[in-house]
Amino acid sequence: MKKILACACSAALLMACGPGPSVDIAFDSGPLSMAVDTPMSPGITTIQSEVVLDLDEQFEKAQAKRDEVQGVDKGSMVLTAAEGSNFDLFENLTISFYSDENNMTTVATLNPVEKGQNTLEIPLSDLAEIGPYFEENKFLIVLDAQIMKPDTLPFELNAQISGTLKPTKK
Amino acid sequence: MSRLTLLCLLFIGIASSGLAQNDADRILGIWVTGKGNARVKIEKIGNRYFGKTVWLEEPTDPETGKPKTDTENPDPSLRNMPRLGLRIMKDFEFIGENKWKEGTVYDPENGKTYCGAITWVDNNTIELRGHICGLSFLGRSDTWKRYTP
Repeated sequence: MKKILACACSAALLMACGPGPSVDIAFDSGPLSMAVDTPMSPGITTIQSEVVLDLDEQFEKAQAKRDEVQGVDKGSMVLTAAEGSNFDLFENLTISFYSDENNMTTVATLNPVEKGQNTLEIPLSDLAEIGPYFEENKFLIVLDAQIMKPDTLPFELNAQISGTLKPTKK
Repeated sequence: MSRLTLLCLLFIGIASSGLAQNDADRILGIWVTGKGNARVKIEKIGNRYFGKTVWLEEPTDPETGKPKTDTENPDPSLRNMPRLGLRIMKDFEFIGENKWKEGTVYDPENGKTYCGAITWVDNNTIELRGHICGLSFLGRSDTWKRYTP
């Protein structure tokens, strides 16, 4: 009996120490434009774009703590090549998030990139701890891509991230 | 304080911050690892320094005959990530006195991430030290040479 009581007390203590219940806040970055510098040469190239998310009002409405995002559900990124082009230029893609306040986190990879695609939908890793990036109003998307062949034409794409944030309820 | 003194102080301030920036950025470029079997490109994103593998002596997995991927990654959804292009050094900050710290070093051979520090030796040499976080005496160092094509 004593053991059961001790276990119950420990569990209660752990629960009291952990974050409280969370609420759901859907987010969508809208299209973020990115471009690969030209001339392109075969090898690994890095392109980046700043994500600015003004979610203060949504956090306020949901009575959620702005600085305590426990996680992100069903996070995904959609990459869309400019009209008339596709992603055949890329052999593979790896996506990371970065901000000066948070270390870089790799969130998704696509290897190989399927041929003939104008749009790529890439799910974000469930294990990557990306909640803290959404506690700020902005962070960087860093896209590492392996380019197959040289090209002199500019390559432009849009990136759009969406999902559901799980911040702690106030 | 005269206007001239103020101007001089301002100039010295601007000049010294520029020098510090040069000091920090001299690490940028491509480096050859100690064993010579990989090249790592160090680049700057935001205010920090990152290194990604841009060349491997053995880019192909002998078992599959395909390009190597990050098979030991603790996150199963990232195990298909190519080893060529993999960021093995992340988040290094220049702290002055020839040192970049607070970074991490990823070992794709075992999928583990270690705390790291870089020391500038000379124009062509840096020393990278990776250690178990919190136990700086438990680690190993590798001397890297600047890559010259």
